[in-house]
Amino acid sequence: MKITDFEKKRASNLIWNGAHDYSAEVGFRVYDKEGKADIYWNTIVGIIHRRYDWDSLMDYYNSFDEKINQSVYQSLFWIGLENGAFLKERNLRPALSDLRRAYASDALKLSTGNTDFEDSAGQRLLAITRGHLRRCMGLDAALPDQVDIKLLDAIELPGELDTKGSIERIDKTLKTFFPYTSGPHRKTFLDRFHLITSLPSLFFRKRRSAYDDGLDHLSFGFGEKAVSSGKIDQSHISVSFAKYTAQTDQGMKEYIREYFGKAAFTETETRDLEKRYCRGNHQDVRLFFTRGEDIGEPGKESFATKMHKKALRQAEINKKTYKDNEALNRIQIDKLTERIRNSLLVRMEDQSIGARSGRIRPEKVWRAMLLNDDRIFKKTIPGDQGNLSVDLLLDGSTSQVRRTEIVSAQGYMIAEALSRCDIPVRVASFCSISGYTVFTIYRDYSEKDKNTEIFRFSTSGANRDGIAVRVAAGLMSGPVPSGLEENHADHRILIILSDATPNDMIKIRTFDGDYRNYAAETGVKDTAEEVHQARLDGISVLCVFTGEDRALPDVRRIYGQDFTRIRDLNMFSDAVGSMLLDRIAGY
Amino acid sequence: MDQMIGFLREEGVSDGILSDVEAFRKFYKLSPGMEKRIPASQYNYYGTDVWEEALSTILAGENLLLSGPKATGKNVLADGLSRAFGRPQWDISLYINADAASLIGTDTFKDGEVSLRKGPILKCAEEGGFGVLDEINMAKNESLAVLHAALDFRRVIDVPGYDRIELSEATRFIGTMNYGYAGTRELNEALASRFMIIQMPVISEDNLKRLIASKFPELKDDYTAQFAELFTEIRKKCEGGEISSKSLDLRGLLSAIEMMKRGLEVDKALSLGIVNKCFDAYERQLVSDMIQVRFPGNLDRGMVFKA
Repeated sequence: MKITDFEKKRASNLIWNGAHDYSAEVGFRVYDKEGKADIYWNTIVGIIHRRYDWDSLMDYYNSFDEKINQSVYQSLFWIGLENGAFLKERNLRPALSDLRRAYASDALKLSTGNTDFEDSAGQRLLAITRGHLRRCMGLDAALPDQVDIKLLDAIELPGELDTKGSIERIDKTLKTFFPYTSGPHRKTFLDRFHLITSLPSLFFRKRRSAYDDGLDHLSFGFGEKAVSSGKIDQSHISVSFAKYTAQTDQGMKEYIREYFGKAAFTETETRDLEKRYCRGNHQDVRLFFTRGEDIGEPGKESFATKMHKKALRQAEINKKTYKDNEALNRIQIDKLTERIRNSLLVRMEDQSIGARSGRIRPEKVWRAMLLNDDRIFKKTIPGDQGNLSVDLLLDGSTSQVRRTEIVSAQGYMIAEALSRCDIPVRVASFCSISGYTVFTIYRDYSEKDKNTEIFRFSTSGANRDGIAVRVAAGLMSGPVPSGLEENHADHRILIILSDATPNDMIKIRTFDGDYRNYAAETGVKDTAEEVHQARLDGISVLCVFTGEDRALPDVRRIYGQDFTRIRDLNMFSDAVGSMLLDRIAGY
Repeated sequence: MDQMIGFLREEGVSDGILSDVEAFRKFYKLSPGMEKRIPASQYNYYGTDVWEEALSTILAGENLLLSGPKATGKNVLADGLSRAFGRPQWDISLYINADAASLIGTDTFKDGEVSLRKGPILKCAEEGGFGVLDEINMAKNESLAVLHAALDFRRVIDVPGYDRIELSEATRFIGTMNYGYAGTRELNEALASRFMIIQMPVISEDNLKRLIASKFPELKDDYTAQFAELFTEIRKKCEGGEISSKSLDLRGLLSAIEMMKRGLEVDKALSLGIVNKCFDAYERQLVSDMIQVRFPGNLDRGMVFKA
């Protein structure tokens, strides 16, 4: 079974909602047999967060680790807490009793015929659980054994108990009914690497490894482990990592500087931007912004300066390729300019119409006197005052290396056509190298004379499209560092020239402390989310697709319908023009 | 109208302020035919501090700008102020193309001659009304510049080609704005300095309960609380950045309760009023989850309303 990201998000939301706290660490999430977030259990987890001290509970819970009958103790722990949390909350949420009844009835069906617990403690747990579920449904527990009834009475925590009282009561109950001793199991060396908190495990199947979906199969659904807070001592890792980072960070920055040029923003500004944008999937990424100026010391020979020289040679090739086709390219720019000007700017002009009030038109006054036509005034319907900006983002990763000249020419042509229509354009390229995502800014909104800078475009490294879109969209709508112009336009368009194959060496940290490659599916999904987010922020995101056929499904997933593919440079102005105009027609 | 004073007294607004409000009302008489422009009571604004601040601002002869996020009761307070002072109200919704002509007036042709067709600002100024400049930051700052002289100590409007009109002493302008809302812009300092500004607080759960209870006295007390808590939860989810503010819709919630009163099932009414305000399927699911964990599925009218 695969749990979709949305169901994970939904489960977290139910927990936060129950906890009344959106900063609470989720702890764990519960799903039903179809992989949907379990409404009742996730809410209960949230309520436990709010009503009890979660950290103390988890400390106690972790003390079951490695004990004989571990899963039985864990199960009883959750049965008890569910009961306590429910009793504390039921008067405040009328729906809770209904949800609980529905959950109990489902869980009871699921538990019938469960043969996983063969030993006596397991059999007893099964009986107790069924008894509990029956009570949840408002029925009699139907337990033949009086001792079991006593155990059930003891483990079903009353609503009045606080965290300490609850733990004491569970502890006492376990001691009374099981060969249980308090306190943690003696930790072994291996435990230090046990990164994941054990989970509630009602009805744990014996052979958990039989399931490769990473979920714990529980009687009431499927539990998903999340990283616990403060349970694992990872400080030694972070300390050594910090040292390593400090040593290499300066060197890396120097390397990037020699490679791409001096930083466009101050250290503080860059740090602020990192704080703002390097979150979630991109928390391990660093940012670097440059205008490609002032590269390294002259005469210094290093790999970076060599690469820079190569980039300079590429710039010459870009320019030459463009010049070779200049006649054709100029026609394309003219056509694109005309298209934008004709359709777009006409919309933006003021319109004046005859009206019954407004500015008088003396030549029409006779009509009012003689023909009783009052429409002798002129009313102006102001057009959209050209309040439009375009940001152009070029994918500068090595995968584009064979298309470097084409991408730089396309970028130049779009920027030039828009500049001729007095539409502010910002052009930048991005690539990812050694953990840094580097943005090279070629021109800013008002720098109309700098379009030729785009020929400096060259390729290197990987491309982390998600962070590139996030940062570009952020700089279009949020605050900008002192080196950039603010975007005040009403209508903001972001055009990305990309091959829609995100890929970067810095992996994504998953919720359970694991790492996933930023490539293929994961990269596409992340980029799609960022594009979606940018659109929610009111930015139109368009893609000029430069990649191969096999990436077509991905480009559709990321950009939806808003992309155009340039098969032939002769069609360039038509394709880009109509895509832009479609978008603007919606304004 | 005395009801309004009574309500404010109940709210705990100080007697000193209330006696000044009454004196204001006695002193400034209404022109004939203007009573109908005094807004009728729909909802009351709950929040003693804000009431006192707002009433004092108006009494001091200042204009008032109410700034705050969605569902903080900006327009409810503005209506309440007109009602409390017994002044006719002009609602002026500002939009991006609002210009001087649409605000102050423009030429028109009447009885064989060109004359001035007065705009809402001008009428409001002459009648000593309260002009509510709704979503003031939607308009361009340049088009609001014509109001500068009206809003500051000069209290005049110079209509080009006509006359220089002095504002009636009772005239006040009340702006509302939602800072950072889509399509809004920064208010420039020149304009902002002409207002006293109240940052509208989010309505507290208690006040929300009172609001719902006053609008629907037939609602059972525990369900009044449930609806208020649902709204607070949605707000928390918005503040947590999990969903947009589309479903944070107090009007929608109240309308949904109204529909329940008329017999629609609770979950359907809440879908219409709240859930469906999100056009994104993901958000809709998150919001409907919140409703599901609060309201039992079989809830009907009889369980929610008193017999």
